[in-house]
Amino acid sequence: MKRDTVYIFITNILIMLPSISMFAYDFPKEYHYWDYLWYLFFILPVLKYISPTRIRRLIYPLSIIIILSYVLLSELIQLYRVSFFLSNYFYVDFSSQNITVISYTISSAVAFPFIVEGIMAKTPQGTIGYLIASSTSTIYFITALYLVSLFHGSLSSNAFFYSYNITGYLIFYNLYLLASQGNEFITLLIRPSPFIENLLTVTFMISIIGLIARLYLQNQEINRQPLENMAYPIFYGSIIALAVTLLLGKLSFTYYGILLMAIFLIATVVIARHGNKKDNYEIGDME
Amino acid sequence: MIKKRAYSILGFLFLGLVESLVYGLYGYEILTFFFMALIFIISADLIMLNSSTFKSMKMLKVKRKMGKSEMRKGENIKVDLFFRNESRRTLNFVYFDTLLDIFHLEGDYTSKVKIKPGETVHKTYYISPQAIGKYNVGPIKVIANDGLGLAFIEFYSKKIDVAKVAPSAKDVFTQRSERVSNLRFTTGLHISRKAGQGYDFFGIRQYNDSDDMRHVAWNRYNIYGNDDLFVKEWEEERHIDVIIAMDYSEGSNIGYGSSRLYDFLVSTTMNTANIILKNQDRVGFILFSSDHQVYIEPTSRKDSIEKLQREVSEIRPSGTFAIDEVNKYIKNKVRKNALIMVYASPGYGKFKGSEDKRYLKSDRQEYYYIIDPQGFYDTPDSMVLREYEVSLIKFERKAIDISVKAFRSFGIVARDVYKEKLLATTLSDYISGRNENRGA
Repeated sequence: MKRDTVYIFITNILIMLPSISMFAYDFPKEYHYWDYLWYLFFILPVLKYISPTRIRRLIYPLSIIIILSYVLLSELIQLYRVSFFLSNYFYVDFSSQNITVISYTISSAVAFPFIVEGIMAKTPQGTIGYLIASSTSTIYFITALYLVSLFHGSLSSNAFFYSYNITGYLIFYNLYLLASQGNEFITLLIRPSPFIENLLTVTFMISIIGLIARLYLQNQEINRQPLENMAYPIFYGSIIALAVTLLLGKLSFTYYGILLMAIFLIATVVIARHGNKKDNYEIGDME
Repeated sequence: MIKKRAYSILGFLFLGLVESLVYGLYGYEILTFFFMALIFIISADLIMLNSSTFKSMKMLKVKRKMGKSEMRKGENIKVDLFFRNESRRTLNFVYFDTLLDIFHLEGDYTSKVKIKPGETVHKTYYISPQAIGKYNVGPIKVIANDGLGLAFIEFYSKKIDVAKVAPSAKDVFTQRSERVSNLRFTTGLHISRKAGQGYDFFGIRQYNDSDDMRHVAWNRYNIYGNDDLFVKEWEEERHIDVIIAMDYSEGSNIGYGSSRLYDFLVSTTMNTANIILKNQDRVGFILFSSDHQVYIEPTSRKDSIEKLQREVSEIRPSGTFAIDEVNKYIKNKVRKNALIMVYASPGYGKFKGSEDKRYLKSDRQEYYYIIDPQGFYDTPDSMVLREYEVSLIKFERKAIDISVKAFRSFGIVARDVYKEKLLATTLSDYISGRNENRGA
């Protein structure tokens, strides 16, 4: 294996660590409720990488079509009470009263291919994209799980469905408030679980280091830059980010928090973009 | 210049930030910090490259020193590069010297450099030109990038050196084949002679009424016993002029590596010229295109060849070429009778139909060679591309065949010649031409 491939693989694991740890936290709690069909999500990335190059890119689109067709058929069969010799296999239901925990666990099962793809991604932007995609569904499920424990319920009880639905409603409500009011909706559930919080803090820190390492090592192939060239951007960037995050915490109940953060971010990006040197610049001749 | 990668990373980070604000509801502020920290770190990295690194790089000084500017093909020339850091920071950059693919390169023509304040770094590389002509060496490009490799700035040094490449000595005498060797063996045995008045005895023939009585060979009188008279014939040596016209248009600028058409035409011309000179005939040259019209008068010494070498090291093929234009030029420039040989590229040598018919036929003996394109294209690795190339060459060859027939219909001795057979064909035509005293 090439040296490049090894460091890309290792740094990708570091970048994806938050998602990996969240999935590792989720999975032992919910795998009892997984349908055996969901385990096919574990096979998908493997299938992709062992299949011939020509059909490799078709694996995920085909899988999405098959899964959506299966869900649609299940819904139709449940809705119209159709009965035929295979109808017992189409039981995934999101619409009727007979909804089960199995139907929900699909959302965290989907995270697995995203995590694998994030680790295998060849570009840093690809890895970040998969990190965001995979953390979306895992955080959702972690939150739902925490709410279940608050309600003293279990995954098989109605408490799970309420928790899951409340999580969804709160997310949509928060999104609506962000767009219309410009501030976040703060609830009493502001500190869900110290363990998760610590886990996320540590893994996201490692993830930042992973991304910087990934970009730095990739750059070494083109031009070896000393570490001190990177130290200043990391130092200044972290200080400003910390200051803005603290400011956001202080102003979290107000409209100004998001506004100030947006101003800071946009100003920084505009300065970076404005100073962009595009053309060739002349350098002097030595006497 | 900020790379697309930086924009896409920033885009994803902003998306993540929005997501973190939505999830911030549950107390995951670390998510917000994570995305914000990365956005600020990347932005700070870009800002620092475009401000402090840019200012320091502007204080870099560069110098190139070439071993010599006039060189021969295949010669190794040393090039020294010097970089001096006049800023207060250590600079890290990549440099490369801009060079055409006709140069074989060895050494540090491109490299990574780390240079401390006040320090001078010396790099050396060697260039070996593979084709004749005048080429630029430079400018030196220097590229500085940021720590994360998300942006770069290009700098250049304005100084450009010129490399004038003349044909190598081996080009003049190296083309060998059995046929050419045979021709060379007979060189000098076929000196153009004209029977009649002269100094050298040629032979005897029967007397006729118009013959001068002074030339009667009395020792042959009555040799067969029938009172027949014989007269002595004398011969004089005559030198012919040969002019080789080359298509020096863009059409000749085909080929790759050391196999380029214009280079090949010049070396074949010099080979031919050397043999013609050995035969005590005069040889001259024309480099013709819409951009270049170079006429080198025929001489019986090597002056014309040396002049040709100097001329070709000053120019590069450019412009267009047409047979009627070259014939018009020859008509205006060449006053004496001469044997004309025209080498045309496959691109511009073909019959177009729009030529001025008055100038299609020269009043001198003219041979017109259209060079076959085979051998001037790189063989691709892919089998599909190879097949494609073969079919393209076949198509081109068919078009050349049609052109040859069209030219012949106008009375031009036109030929489609393969690269390997050009010298032999030219010499065959030269020998047959001079035997018939066409250029005298």
